[in-house]
Amino acid sequence: MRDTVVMWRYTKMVVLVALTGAAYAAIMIPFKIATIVPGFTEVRPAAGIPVVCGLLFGPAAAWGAAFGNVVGDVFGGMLGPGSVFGFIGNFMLAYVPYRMWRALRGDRPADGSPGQLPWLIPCAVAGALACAAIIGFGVAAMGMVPYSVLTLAIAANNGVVGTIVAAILLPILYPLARSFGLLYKDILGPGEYTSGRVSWAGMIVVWVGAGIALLAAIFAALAEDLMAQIGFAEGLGLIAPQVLAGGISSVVIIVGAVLMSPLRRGRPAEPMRPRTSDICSDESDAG
Amino acid sequence: MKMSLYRRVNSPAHRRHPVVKLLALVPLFVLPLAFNDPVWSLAVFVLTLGLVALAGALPSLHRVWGLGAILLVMSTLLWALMLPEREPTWALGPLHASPISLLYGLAMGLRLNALLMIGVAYVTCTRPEEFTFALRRIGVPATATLALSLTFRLVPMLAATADTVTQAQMARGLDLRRGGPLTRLKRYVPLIVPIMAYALRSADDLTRALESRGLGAASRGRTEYFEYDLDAWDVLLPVIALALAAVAIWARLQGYGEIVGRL
Repeated sequence: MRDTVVMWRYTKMVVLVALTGAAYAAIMIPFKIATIVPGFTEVRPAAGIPVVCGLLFGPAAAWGAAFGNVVGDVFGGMLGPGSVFGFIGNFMLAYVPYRMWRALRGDRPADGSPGQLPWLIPCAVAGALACAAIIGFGVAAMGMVPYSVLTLAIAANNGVVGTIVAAILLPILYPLARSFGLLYKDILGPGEYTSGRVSWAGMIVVWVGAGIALLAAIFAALAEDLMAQIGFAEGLGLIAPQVLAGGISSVVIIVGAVLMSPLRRGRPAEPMRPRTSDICSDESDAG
Repeated sequence: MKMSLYRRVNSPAHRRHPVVKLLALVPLFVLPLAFNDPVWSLAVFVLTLGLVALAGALPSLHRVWGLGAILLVMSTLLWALMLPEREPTWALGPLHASPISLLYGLAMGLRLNALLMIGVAYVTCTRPEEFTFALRRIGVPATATLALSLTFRLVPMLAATADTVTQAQMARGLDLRRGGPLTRLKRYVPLIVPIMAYALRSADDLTRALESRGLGAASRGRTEYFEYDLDAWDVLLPVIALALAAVAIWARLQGYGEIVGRL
């Protein structure tokens, strides 16, 4: 996942992290459409923001979604052990669609045109399932909410609402981001975001993990059988078999995301430095 | 726009070093997670209410008590019906319940409320700047904590923009309360566009502002705008928190506070 590390060298990416996070938190807090599980999950249009920003800003949106979730927890007084899993889950909500799009479509821009829907939907749904699996596992492992309830609620909200919102917002925001030079391809060097050779394998691994997480959430008995077959019939210590299946699927998803990412050292685009030339050109324009 | 729960008062918790407060959170979170007997969970919840009082956060409770009540009721119901039970006293399809599952549900509701109280106590006595300072001191890279600080700063600004856009559209007749979920979703999405456009438009200005302040410039050592001193209580607080967590883990291992053999 070199792209998530090297992006911190670019001021614009740092700013995009903050803007994505702030927009996500600012839209998440007041905009609620309906309650799925009172106190735990609501239908929120903000679920589409990480997907759209992930396709536009790449790794910056992944960090932004994670930070936005932490900030939302702090402002809501909900900062707790679940925030760690919220951080990782929301990171994946933006990172998986961005990497999956690159694995599927390469350098073709995600401009949100109607013809791109068959590719946009699997990318957005995979991100939603990855997020649901990780948060569902973490929160259920601490005994806070049953695994099935939270995983299915997050998957439904982020998968359905997130995809619809992303499909509507992307064609509007893509030209805007491109005109401001904010697309990740405008900022990072090609070697810093180009997928490795195993990106297709990574994509399949993510889908396998997401599938296990979803099946474990729907069919508890199936998860128990699966765990029994690999020698964890009673789960692991204090963790129930169904939750353990969710945990294994989360690890599989993270491994898949790593395989989809650039693994080799790429050539940096341009080191971060004050853009004196830009400032001078602006001054000369003004003069 | 006031979004944060932070209160500017001089409580003992406010005076603690930011790193100490952040590190103390970890053992404090162990306390509610250690027990699943409602009596023990209630005792931990009362203890966390003491923390809330110590942090001067009692006035903040009016913003979260509704959520706490919903969490208690929903958690009790969900776990009562969904806890895997070998001998349920009542069953209907995949749902089953027993007195044990009901008690476990109640304990989980109290656990969630105890975690909520610790979170409220922490954010009431800790400014976002102190939170990011503590993260930097425990090894999180400065650029990442700067992005987090910026996020904290930008949220109220973008939320105000969201409010302005919503009010303007409502003045033109937009009704966000009527209609089914899909209709309401269609009405919400156009509100997101100007907020995102505003955010994107400010990206270039923010980039220049950060670069003009030297972000990314080579430097031998960073300095902090705020510096915090450690005192004796700052050493004692993590020791007390760790001791409490150790006692809780020991008690659980001895079989206290457990009605079901799971977390």
